[in-house]
Amino acid sequence: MAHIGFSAAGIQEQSSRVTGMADDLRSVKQAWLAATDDPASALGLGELVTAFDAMRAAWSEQYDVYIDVVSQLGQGLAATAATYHRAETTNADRALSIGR
Amino acid sequence: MASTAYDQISTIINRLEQLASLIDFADPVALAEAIEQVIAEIADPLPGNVGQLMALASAFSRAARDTSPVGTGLQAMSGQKLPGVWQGDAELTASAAVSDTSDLVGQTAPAFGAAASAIDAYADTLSNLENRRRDLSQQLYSASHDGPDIDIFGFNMPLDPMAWSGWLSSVRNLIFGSIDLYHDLQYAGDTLAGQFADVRSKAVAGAGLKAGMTADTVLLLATATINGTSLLGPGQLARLEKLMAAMSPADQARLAAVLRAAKSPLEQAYVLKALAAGHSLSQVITFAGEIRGQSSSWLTNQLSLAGTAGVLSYNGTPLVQSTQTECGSASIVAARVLTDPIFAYSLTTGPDGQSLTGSQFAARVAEVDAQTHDATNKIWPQSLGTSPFGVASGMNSGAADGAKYGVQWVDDTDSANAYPALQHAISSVDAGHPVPVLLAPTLDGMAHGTSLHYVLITGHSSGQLSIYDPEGGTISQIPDSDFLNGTMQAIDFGAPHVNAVIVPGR
Repeated sequence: MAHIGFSAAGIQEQSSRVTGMADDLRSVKQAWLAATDDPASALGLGELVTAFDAMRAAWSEQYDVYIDVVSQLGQGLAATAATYHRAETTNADRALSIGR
Repeated sequence: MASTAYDQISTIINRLEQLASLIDFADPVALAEAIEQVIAEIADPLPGNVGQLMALASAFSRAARDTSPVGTGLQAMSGQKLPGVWQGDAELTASAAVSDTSDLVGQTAPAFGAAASAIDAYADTLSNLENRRRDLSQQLYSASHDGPDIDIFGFNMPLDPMAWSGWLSSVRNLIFGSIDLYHDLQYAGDTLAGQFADVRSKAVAGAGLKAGMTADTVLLLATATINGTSLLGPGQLARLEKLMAAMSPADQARLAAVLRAAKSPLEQAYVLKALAAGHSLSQVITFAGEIRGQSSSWLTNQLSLAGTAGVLSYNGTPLVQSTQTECGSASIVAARVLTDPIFAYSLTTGPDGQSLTGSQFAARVAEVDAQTHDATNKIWPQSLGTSPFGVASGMNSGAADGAKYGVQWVDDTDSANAYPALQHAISSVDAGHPVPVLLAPTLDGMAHGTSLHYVLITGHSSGQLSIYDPEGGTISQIPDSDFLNGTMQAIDFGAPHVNAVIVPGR
C-alpha cells in the first residue's frame, strides 16, 4: 500500500475513500434490514421471532455505530484536507511573493 | 403469517401424552377415537418455512460478505500515517480510531456467519421434522383404517389377539413418535433462540451510541476486551445507557471530564464499568482518580484478576475458595470481581492505595469469603456449604448488575425439564451476567464422599462456555452442548450432574 503523506490531495483521497466506506455500510445495512424484516413466517415460533428481533435490533444499532464512526472519520479527514489546502495555498503564496 | 407460541407446542405434547396414557386401557372404540384425535393434533404442518429460513440465512451471509471489505479497507488505512482529525471524549488518534473501527467491523462476519449457520441448521432440522410429521400422520391414518377387526357382538374383543397386540404396539410407537417429534421441535427452537442470543451478545456498540456517548467512547467500549471477552457485556451496557440517560447535565459534564482525564481507552472503560456496576458518580470519580495513568497490565491484573489467561488470579495467586465449604461464597466473590472493578480493586489494594502482595491478597479473599458465607448462611448450617437460595441472595447483594437472581432446579434425567433452565442460564451469560451452577456427584461419587460443588459460568462464545472453578481458580472451556445435556463430562469438576442454576429472572 502506498504511503500517503500529509498533502491536501492525499488527505482528500483518504476522506473520499472513507466516505465511500460509510456509504457502502449504509447500503449493506439497508439491504440486510430489508431482507430480514419479516421473520415471523420463516421462523414460525413466536419465541424465536422475539429472539431474532432482539438480535436484529442490536446489530442494526451496531451498523449505526460503524456508519457514524466512519462518517465522522471521513468528515474529519475532509476538514483536515481543507485546512492543509489553505496552508499549502498560503505557503505557495508566500513562496511566490518572496521573489517579487 | 402469525407465529406460533411455544405454549401451543407444549399443549400438543400434553394432549398427545394424555392420549398415549389411554392406549393400554381404552376399549377399541375409544382407541379409534383417540387415534383420530392424534391425527387431528398433528395434521397441521409444523410452524416455520424452510425456503424462507434459507433466504433469511442468505441475507446474513450476504451482509457478512459485503461488510468485510470495509473492515479490510479500514485495516489497511490504520497502518498508514493519518493526520490527527479525531476529537472527542476519548481523544483517540485517527490511526487508533481507524484500527478500532476496523476491529469492530471485523466482528460482523463471524457473528453473521454464525447466525446464517444456525438458521440453515434449523431449516434442515425443520425439513426433517416436517417429513417425520407427514410420515407419522400417514401411518396413523393407515393404522386407523387397517386395524384388526372387532367382534360385532359387542364384546369389543379382537378377532386375532396376536394381530391386535401387534397393531396396538404399532399405534403406541406412532403416538410416542409424535410426542418425540414435538419435543425435538422445541429443542431445535430453544437451540436456535440461544444461538440468536449469542450473536446478539456480540453487538455491544449500539447501546453506547443510544446513551449519547461520542463515537470514540462507543468504540473504546466495544473494543475493550480482556482475554478476548468484552469488558462490558450487553447487560452492563444497557444499564450504563439507562444511568447515563438519567444523569443531570451537570453530572454528565463531570463524567465527561473524568473520561477526558483518563490516560487510556482501557482506563476509561473501567471507569464506565464501575458506573455500570451501580456505584455513585462520586465513588466512580474517586476510583477514576486512583487508577489514573496505570498501565494496561496493571489495570487487568488489579481490576479483573486477569493477568494470566485461563486463571482468575492476582500477581500469580489464584482466586480460590478458602475452605472446603466455601465454593458457593467463592463463586459469588468471583462474580463480583467480574462485574465490579471497584470491588476487585478492594481485594487487590490496601487502604493506603498500595497494591497488595499475593499472600495479602489471599488473606483478604479469605476474609471476604468468610463474610460472604456468614451473610448468605444465616439459617443454613455453614458446615453444609451454601444453599442455592443463599447463593442467589449473595449474587443479588453485589454481583447482580441490576438483575434479580433466583434458583432454577434442574432434573438432568429429564431433558424436557432441564433444557429450558440450562438454555436460560446460557442466555443470561450472553447478556453479561455470570451464572453460578450447582453440580451434584454421581451415586458412586457420593458413596466415596464427593459432595456438591459450585462453579461459575463466566462467558459464552462460539459454542464454548467459560467455567470458573473456585477450587483451583481456573477458567476452562467446555462445549455448551455438554452443559445443555445436563452433564459436565468434558471437564472433571468431581460432580458431573447439573443440579441447579442461579440465574437472573426472565
